Amino acid sequence: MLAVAGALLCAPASALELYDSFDKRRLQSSHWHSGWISPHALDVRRYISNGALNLRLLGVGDETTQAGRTVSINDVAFVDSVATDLRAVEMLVVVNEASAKSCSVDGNPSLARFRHWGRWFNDGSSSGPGDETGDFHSFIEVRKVAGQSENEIRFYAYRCTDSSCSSYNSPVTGSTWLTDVPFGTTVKLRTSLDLEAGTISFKAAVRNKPAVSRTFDYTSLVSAVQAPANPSYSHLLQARIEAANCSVDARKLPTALIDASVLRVRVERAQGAISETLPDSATGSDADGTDAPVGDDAPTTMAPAGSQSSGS
Amino acid sequence: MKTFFSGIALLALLVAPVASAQYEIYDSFDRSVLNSKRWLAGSVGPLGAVEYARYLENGAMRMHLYGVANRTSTTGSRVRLRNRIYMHPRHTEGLSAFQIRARVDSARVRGCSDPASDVTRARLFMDLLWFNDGRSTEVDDFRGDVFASIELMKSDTDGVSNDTLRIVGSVYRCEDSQCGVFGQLGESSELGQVKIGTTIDLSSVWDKSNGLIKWRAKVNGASTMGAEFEYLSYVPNPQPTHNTDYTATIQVRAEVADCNVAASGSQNPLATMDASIKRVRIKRQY
Repeated sequence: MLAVAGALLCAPASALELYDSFDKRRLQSSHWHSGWISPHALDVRRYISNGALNLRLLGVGDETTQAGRTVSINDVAFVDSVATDLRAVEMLVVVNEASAKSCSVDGNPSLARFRHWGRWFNDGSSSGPGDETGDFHSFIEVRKVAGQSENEIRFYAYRCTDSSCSSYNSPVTGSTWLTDVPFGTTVKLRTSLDLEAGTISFKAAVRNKPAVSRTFDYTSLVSAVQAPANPSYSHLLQARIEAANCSVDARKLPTALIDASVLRVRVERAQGAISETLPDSATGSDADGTDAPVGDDAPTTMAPAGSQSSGS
Repeated sequence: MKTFFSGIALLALLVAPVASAQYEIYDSFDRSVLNSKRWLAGSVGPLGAVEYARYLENGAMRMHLYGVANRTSTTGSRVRLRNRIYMHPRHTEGLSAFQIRARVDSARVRGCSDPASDVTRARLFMDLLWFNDGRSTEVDDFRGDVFASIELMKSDTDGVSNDTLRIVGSVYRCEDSQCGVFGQLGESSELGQVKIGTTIDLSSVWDKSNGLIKWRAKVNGASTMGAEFEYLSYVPNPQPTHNTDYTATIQVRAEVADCNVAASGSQNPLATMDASIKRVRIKRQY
């Protein structure tokens, strides 16, 4: 315990501040844009439950083709005013359930994923909104792959080299695997961008396990750093299912499921305090069932900088 | 208005010919997840559906929607959010009646106090695409498609008490290929009202031989509420629709008025609804 305390005291001051602890009755529209819910998302949940944001999704493969996988998505996005200058995102999350079943005949394995996905900046190559060329993206996720027993924590970062980001190059070398996490175990997942150093870092701290992290220098890939052409929906908390398509055995269509509870989100920003940049609606009430006085819906109190260690 | 609640309606039901097709169970939602062989899901764009859920639990399909709107300007319009599933087109052939056993567990609306604002509504409804008026030529051409809806609805302007929902039937026709433009045929029919938390059977029937769309609403132990819509004066020669993907839908909708909250002094408009669908029954007639 002494060693842990010492580490806390000596740790460099973190600029992470609390963004949401999901302690209101409803998900606050002042903090989150509702995201996309795709076709093929049959069983889907996105709501506040027991002080957490529950994101759950079951997706089904396509029975008319054997090729590829069918993607389903359920996500929420940081509001634009916050997303535009994020430097780090950390979520405390529990995966309650995940499964992935593939087609009985060979093909792609089904995947179930829960992740933070971010579009951090553009390097100046984009011609405008809709052109992702030069966008720098990353994700960190808990992933269930059909046929594997463990829930993996994986990450990736990449610079898009075409307008739809169907091709890209990456500063990531070696394995993209960080660690494994059992169901029902809290894990802290953090992605941090250091513009001065030109690095992106991924960190996973599974409860009762040593934290693991990796850092990559992206400077050889990007020529400049500027705001992405399309700043909306740049940072997402996302349940994503990629269910194998299966035309040869339509009676047993592949399914994949992920159910995650996000307990807390902390962020680091380039400038300003969260409370100064949230939209005006933050001063009203979203709360259902009560006519709460103005201010009840205001952002939750900011945690003091450096108040938490991720356990490294 | 083609509305009636009377004993005459009840009598008519009792003496209806027994030769008509019987209801069969289409889904009783007793699995762990929705049956993808029976239902397709609708997508939702990133608009304002802050909370959204659809899943099976305890032998029912639970549907949840909570939406907010544009809070910076009062436009006289509203955000329309939908949480919906579609009957799988593989099973829609010959469909002549569609019935759900439903219970709205909570519904709440808060409109915009600016008089220039649009209505705010929370709705559970089923929508049946019964026929086309002859204008559509192919799949995905919705021109002339005729939909009949029956719904449990709460609006910020309807003046009913907080614990009560209106039961409303309406008929619409698409006027362009995307159904971005559509118009109501005739007027809506008010079948009656029901308390939140009450289980109710809602049915929509296409009575081809008499040129009628019939709606029924029945709470166990109470008399049937009903209404009918005579469509031949609007669509003299109904044709099969090409759009079987959309034959029957069940949906929860949150429609929230755009509202300049700061300027109007209004509270943030919102609409939320939780509903449980316990079973779906259908009739076929060929």
